[in-house]
Amino acid sequence: MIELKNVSKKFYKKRAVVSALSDISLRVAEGEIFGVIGSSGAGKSTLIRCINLLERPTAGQVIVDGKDLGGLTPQQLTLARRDIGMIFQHFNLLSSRTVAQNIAFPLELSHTPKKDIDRRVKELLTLVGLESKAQDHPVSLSGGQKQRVAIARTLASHPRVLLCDEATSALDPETTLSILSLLKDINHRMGITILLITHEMNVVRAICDKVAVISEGRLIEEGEVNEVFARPRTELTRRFISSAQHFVLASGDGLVLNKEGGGYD
Amino acid sequence: MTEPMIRMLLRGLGETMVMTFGSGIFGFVLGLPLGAVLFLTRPEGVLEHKIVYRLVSAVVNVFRSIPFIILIVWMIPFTRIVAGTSIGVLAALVPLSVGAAPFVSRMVENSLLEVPHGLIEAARAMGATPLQIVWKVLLPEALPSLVNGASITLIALVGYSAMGGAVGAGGLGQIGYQYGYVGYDTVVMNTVLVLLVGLVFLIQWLGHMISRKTDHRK
Repeated sequence: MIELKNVSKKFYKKRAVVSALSDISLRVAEGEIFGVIGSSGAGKSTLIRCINLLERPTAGQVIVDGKDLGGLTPQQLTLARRDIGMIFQHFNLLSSRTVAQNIAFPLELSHTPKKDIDRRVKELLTLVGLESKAQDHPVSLSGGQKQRVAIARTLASHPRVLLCDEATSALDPETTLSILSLLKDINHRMGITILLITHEMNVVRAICDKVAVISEGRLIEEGEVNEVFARPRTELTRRFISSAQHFVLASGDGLVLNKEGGGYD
Repeated sequence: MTEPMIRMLLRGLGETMVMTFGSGIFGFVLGLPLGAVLFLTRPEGVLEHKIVYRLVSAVVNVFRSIPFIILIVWMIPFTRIVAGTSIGVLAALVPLSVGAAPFVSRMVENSLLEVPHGLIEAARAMGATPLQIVWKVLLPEALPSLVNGASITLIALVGYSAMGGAVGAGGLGQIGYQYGYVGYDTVVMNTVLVLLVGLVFLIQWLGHMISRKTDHRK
């Protein structure tokens, strides 16, 4: 569903050239939840922004849903982006619009008839459990509620892929869990492929099928989450694992905090 | 004060308001697109374009550096073509609008710069075209700041229109100049001042109120 082939990204500063990504290749299969973990400055933000070409790679190919995005005209790219959802650490909701109007935004972009917009917005408000907040402005919402609106907004245009750029990093642990379980639920019910980046191993452990570790712009380890947790091959991965405050997936449909032994584990 | 005098002052107030708000509207019609172009084409902008940015920027700077009183005189041939005459309220609208437009464009550029960058990025990620980014993200999000800028512009235009009065634009400026400076009638001159101050206060108050009504950020 998502394929990166030998992607590199260099930033040209006044004198120096900064290499943010070096020769990255990865594949995310349809319906998978794929996590990329790394410390700040490792290049993970650049990586996720290269997938919808918010950042254009200096070299390499980005293929999403069979389309080589680098080869598209600006107009085609704009259309292709409507099939790629994205949520952000700081939510990026429009302050001038109500919750319902925020969710309607991508549908307005594609000139959806008003009647269809209203129906879809209602559906999505129910999905994220914010029916009662439809007419409120984002300023009156909590962080978790804002991220729910952002998720509803990005799902409005039925994307096949969802990119999560540190989507839970600005949230407290409890809210993080509720957002993660919402993402898992969406992935389950709609079969949306999710690629998320994070600096927290517990996020990976909670919902990801596969994980890749990024360091200094290179992928240094990649595999099934269970596999990587059981047999980490690099020192950095071991450190991420040991620093993780585990979230434990409950047997039911939600996620719960495991409070045994202090902290979250 | 005699009745004809009062009638003259009221007509002057009306003319000043027509000049202020009329040129304000034309100034925005010209300045808003220019400001949006400046914002979009600036370095690191959505439609970064060095040549367009430098060109528009240079034109704006040139017009902003011409003192208004000279701009009026300098523009007389052009004003005659557009308005048919170089005297009166209608003629004054031409240089006033041209004087306001570059001012408005810089103000719009600044207001748009205040919109958090993440919102533009989110809109791009959702597949918004550059025009949709301007219409659906930048302008609505910058509205409170644009309204504040509009009241600053209108207040500046009250002053400009009074200056125009000295060279036959009509309005309170002309009355103040003729009766105050030429005829030295202190009552008329002071009444003109009070009316101008009142107009400025009214604009400021309205701007403040509308700006607050449209601001959903706090």
